[in-house]
Amino acid sequence: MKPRAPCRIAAVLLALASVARAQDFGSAAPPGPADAPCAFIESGLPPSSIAGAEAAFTRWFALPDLETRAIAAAAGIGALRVAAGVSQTGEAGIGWNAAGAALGVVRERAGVALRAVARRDRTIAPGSEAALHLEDRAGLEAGGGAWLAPAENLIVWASVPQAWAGGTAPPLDRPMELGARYAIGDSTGRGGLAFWVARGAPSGDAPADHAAGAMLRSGPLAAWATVRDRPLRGGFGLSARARWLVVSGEVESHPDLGETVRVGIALLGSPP
Amino acid sequence: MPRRDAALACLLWVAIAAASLGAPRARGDAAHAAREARAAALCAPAAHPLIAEVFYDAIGDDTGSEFLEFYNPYDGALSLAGARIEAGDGSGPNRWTLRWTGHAGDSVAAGGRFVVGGAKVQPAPQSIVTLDLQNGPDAVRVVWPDGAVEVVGYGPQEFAEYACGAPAVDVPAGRSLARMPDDADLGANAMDFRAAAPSPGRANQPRRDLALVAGSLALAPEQPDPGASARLTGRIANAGAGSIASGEASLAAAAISEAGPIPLVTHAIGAALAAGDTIAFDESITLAAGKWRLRAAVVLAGDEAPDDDADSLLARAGPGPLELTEIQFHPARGEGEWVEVRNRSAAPVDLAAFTLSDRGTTRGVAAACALAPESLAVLAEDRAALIALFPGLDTARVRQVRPWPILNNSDDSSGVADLVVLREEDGTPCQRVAYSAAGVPGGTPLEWRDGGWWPSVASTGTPLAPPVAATPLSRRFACSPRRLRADGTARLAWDLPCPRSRVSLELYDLAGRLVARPVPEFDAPPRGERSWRAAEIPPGVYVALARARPPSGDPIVESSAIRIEGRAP
Repeated sequence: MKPRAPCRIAAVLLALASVARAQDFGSAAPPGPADAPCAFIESGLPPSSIAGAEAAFTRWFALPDLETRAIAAAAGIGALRVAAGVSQTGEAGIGWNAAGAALGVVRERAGVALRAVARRDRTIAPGSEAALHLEDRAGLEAGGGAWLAPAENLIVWASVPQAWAGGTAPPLDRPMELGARYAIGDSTGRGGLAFWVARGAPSGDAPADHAAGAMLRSGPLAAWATVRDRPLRGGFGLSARARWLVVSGEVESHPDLGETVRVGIALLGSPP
Repeated sequence: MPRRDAALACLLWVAIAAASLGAPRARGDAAHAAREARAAALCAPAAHPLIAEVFYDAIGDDTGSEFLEFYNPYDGALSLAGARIEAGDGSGPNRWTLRWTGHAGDSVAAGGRFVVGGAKVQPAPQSIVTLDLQNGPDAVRVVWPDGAVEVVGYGPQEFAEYACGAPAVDVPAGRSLARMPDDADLGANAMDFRAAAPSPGRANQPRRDLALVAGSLALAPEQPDPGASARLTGRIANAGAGSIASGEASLAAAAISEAGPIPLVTHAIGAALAAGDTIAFDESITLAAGKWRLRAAVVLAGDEAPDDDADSLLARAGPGPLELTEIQFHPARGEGEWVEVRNRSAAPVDLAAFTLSDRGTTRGVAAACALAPESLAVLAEDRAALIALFPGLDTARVRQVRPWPILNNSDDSSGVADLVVLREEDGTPCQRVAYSAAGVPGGTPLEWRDGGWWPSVASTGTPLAPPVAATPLSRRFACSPRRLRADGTARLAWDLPCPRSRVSLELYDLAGRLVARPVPEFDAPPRGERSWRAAEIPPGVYVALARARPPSGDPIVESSAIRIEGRAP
């Protein structure tokens, strides 16, 4: 393959696809493959780290009755990666509980995984009408993702988290997401700058979503900023790592709805 | 004989010859001479009195009120002996009926008039007879003993015999067909005659006549607030044959109540008016609370037709004794249209003493009902259907209105669907409401509350009951239920600190994308609620963003999470 070919492939993929958003296992991390177990379950993009555990919290658009709490753990044996987690979103009347799992394979320059999430409304009284028609109060979605590093500093990914869905509809329609990340860094991988773009496929009659961002890493610290469209908005995030412990946070500001805040704390088995 | 002397001799001979033929000489001016010269080609036969005015359609019963006026424009008296007035029925050919025949002593003095008419005509006609003329399109004619005929037709004619040239206009009831000027003869009834106020025995177009154009007097707003400025407008016309100099005439207006007149306007008219000219006036006035008769009059020295100098209208400043409180203009359950009214006076009022109208001309009258002070009543298009839908109503206060003025259900280009107008039986305004149908849910009446007309909180309205108060909220907005089915109906309620604002509701998905505007922006009272349907919105969890934009100040925005149920596609 000629040196410029990966860039062309990435460009074509971005043109074809469109930015799936998190719902049950949102993690304070830039889009694309990440080491956080929650992000693995959410996107189906397998991490390179071998093992880890994470607790994440999201407050959507400053609404106290719409918060997500999730815990997840991941493990790896050789090239195999597996993760599982549970989450709870929203207050009793509208909220739901979820259990998710992901299983994937990672090689040096590629990874592929399947993921699935099952949901059930928070309040279903035993013997009630809702319990008798559980398909109206519970649902399952399944999909997958893959990433590829066609060049040393380039990663492209594709995520189809809801390739199939059954039962009650997911809280958020998440079409396919394609993205690419390019890093400029030192050879040790402990510092540097990365840029990414992502495009989410059109959902229904709506147009595609687009996102772009940049991340600066210096030793154990990382900071990133993102911009998105529909409507135009921005966010920023920070993470800090001390040995296996990673603490991260992200704030995205919506011009009409307010801020969405994500925080997470993780124990990761392999340092970057 | 020198040539000049020969010419004078010829002129003298012609004059003597004319006198010897016995023809009366025209009254002197060139127009008369010209008319005489053209008589054979025009409508009025020479050497006979003209038909100057025909009054064939009185308001109400015509009997005894009809008349025909002769006018003699010549210098000598003209006899009417043997002249016959015949009424023509324009629906068929040769349908002429004799109505009057001139007696031997009947004549018209030089420059004089002779009226043939019914016993009710004032001043009394020279010859009283019931003419029984047809209302147009028909005709009247005078057949002279020498065989000459003058025909005056009015309204479109199917047969040529019923008019001379183009027929004159068919005048509305209460107006007469008058020759203008009084000796006009231009070759067609349409050119010689026009509608005018009846003037038996008097000139149709006086030499000096300044008139306040009938029906032009208006007050804007029609029902001003007490002490607030209002505009009294009207038109003044020089209806005489001569011109009127600037400052020669004056305008006076007064507000008249039982206590007497209060002068409003008195000033000279600072414009010169040629014959036929019309000018408008626009005066700023203020009225104290209550019922008034506004009278405007023009004053001109030597005015020969004082009857058209003044006009008046009934007006009211401030609210009337009866007020509208609820308007059902788009009933959805077969109950018919209805309005609710309240007696805001300190004494009982009879509903039959009021009329109800819309933007059209229909004025409905309610069945009699003495309404106690502060009481509510319902004026209904279909009383029985309304009582059937609301069986608990006090039927004595639900009154049928006939004819019912049908109220429009959609706005015109000015944003108004229709008017609902209450008047006293003499026409005095009582209340006028212009309403908009935009954004009013189908079947829901408008009601007066919070200082405006708003959709009723109760979907079918509250006839004979005060408005249902919207439930106070602990927040500015409330969406309920928070979980609804895909085709379900939800409710947006609001409790705002501003008297009027523009309220809307938008739904965003968890990715922050705008998905739907189930409640587009609309004018909203301080408190209220509106329902919306979740149809066409995909299932999922959404952030419902309710927004109120007051006329001034920052918007009020609140959001909450809702869930629309549904199966995965």
